[in-house]
Amino acid sequence: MRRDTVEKSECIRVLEDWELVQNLYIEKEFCFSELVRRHYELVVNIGYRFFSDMQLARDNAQEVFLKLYLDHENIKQMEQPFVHWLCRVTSNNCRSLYRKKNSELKAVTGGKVDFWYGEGEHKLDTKNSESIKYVNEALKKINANDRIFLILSHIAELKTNEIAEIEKIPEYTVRRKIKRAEKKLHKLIAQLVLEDYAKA
Amino acid sequence: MQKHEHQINSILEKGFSRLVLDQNDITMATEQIIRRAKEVQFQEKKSSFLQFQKTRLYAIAALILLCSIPPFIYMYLNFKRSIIIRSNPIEKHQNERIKILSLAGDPGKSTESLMTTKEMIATNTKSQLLLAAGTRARVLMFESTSIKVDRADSVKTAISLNNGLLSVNVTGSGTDTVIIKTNQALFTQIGTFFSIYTDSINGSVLHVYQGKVRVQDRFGTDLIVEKGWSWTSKGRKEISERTKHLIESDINQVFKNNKIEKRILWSQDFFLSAEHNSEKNPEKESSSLNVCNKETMAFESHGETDLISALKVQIENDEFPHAAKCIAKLKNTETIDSAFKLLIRVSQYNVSVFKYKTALNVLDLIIEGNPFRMNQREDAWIQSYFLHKEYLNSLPEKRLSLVKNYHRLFPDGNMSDDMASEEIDLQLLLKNYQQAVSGMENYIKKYPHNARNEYYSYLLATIVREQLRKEKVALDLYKQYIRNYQKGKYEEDAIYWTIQLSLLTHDQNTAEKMRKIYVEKYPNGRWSKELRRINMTSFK
Repeated sequence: MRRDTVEKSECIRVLEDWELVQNLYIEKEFCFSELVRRHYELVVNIGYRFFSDMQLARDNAQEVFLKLYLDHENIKQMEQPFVHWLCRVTSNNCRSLYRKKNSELKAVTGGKVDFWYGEGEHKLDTKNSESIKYVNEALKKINANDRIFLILSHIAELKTNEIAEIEKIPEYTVRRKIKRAEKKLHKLIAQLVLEDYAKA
Repeated sequence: MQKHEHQINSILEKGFSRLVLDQNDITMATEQIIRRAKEVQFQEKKSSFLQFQKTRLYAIAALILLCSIPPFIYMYLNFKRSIIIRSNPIEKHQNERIKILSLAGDPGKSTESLMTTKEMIATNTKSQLLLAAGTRARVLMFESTSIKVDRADSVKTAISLNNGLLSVNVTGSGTDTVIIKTNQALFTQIGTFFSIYTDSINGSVLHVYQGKVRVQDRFGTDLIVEKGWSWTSKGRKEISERTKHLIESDINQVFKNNKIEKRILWSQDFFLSAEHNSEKNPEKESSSLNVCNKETMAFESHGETDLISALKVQIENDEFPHAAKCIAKLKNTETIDSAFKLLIRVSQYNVSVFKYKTALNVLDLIIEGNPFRMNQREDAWIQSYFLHKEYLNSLPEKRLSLVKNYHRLFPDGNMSDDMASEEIDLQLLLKNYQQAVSGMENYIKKYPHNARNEYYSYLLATIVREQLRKEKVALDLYKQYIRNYQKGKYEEDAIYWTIQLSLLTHDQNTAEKMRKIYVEKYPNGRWSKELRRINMTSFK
């Protein structure tokens, strides 16, 4: 690697997210790579929890970052943190992809099956793999709209007022939805645990 | 079961941990995205020329489409007009002297929108009109008369007489079934046959030919006018000659001669022909009329449609006590749901026009209304609380009383933990530290797995130390915090205060032990300097 390239990448690492977006005009590839390096994991994690499918999560992340690469000139709301913008685009993309999958499924099955569930398994090497599997299994059964709120709250670690700002809905609605989804999640996990216990 | 509960909680804690991706993976993904983006850009450039042709094609197609729309609209309007003319007897019989039609209100429609405009029916200088309004009344409208039918169904007929002469013949038994309203007075039918004349100069005049009519005017008059008597509104001038030639037998003859042959369902938009043939008996007519509108029938079987429409009117007029009574009578789940939707819509509308107090009153109807489900009431309560908090900027005392009211109304509500924490915050705001401390203790006991628990554990110790000045209790609470939340958010501060409080209570050993822990964990922590100073003075 050339010396000036190394220096450039080091300089870029110091910049804030929005500064990187603004510098996409000048140093497109460097800045973009840095943004992906910083946030790819978050976007993939949101997608993975939403779809329970690693391949789809990666596709989703690709689409989100593609939007950033191609449409960065049109991004206007720079008062909020960049992560908020990213979460909004990710959640919208997740929803549209989910709708697409559902309509495809309905076309194939003639409307007999309404909801699409992620099927692609991902080998988890982490120590929490068992818990993650339980949570994923339960998340599948939660309404897609509520699910995204839950994911934004737990995975992206956003506060309710931030989610409300992202989704442009009142804060109390977000709080209510998250509460409802959490209760349901708790119930579903309890069911799964009891089932596993009975099997054992 | 408790074991499972513990397992579930640990699953929920660990299950939301993020997957850590390999750095190579991310690099590969980045390269892939950049490659894909370049491909997309290249394709866009390549197809720009073709796109130009395409857009031209679209423009031509749009132009053709635009040109072809006006004739279609013209044809459609003509077609619709012809339908209206065909089905609207007034249009059809423009030149006839007496036109006959029957009216039956469509209450199902009126519930759909809040702001309804009632259709006006008017006769011109040459025409008269015989109407069967609802199933109870036959109404003869003389020349230059205009009315609005507020309600016309199998239960009640209510007509507003704006101007002109109206003669009413009531069929069937029962009192209080036909009400005629003029600017001056309200006429409620008790007997069977009467006529009313009104105009802006002469006021209102009533002649009763058969039975009795109750008259209530805005000056407080409430009397019953019997057969053969007349009543005139106060401050009137000499009435015109019109009513004099109306002899009882003449009007009787008109009603006898004109049987209603064609039945019409009245809606707000236009007159619709009923599918079934009419029968001579007006009571039977009413039953077959109802068959035409299944929705109306379904509601009327429960007798609750009228309640909904009454509720709507009462809310429009800000008569909330009456509305509450109306709501209490609702029993059918469908009507309860529609009443709930109506009330929520009204409250949202009021918020949008800055009428927050009215919105609160409407929400109170849901919260206190018995027939509504618990979750509906809770939703309404939360909306009302946010109105207080966000828009009305209510005082903390008021908000505190509201939150307490929430716990009373919804002991197992979905938002009970949020409201408990809101209560603690409000107590702190009002400097009621003792209550805040007991609130925090309850919160920690009641919601042991809540995310805010850690914060409250630390806050509890701090409040006890700073405000209540109970050093020993505070020390125990800090120790408890350090035990429960290792690597917690406030651990650094908690350790520091443990050291300080230990020194205060002359427990040098604990202080020294905790200081060592602090130095190990936070070598460059923000209390390091301070601790070094303490080291100089105390530990030596």
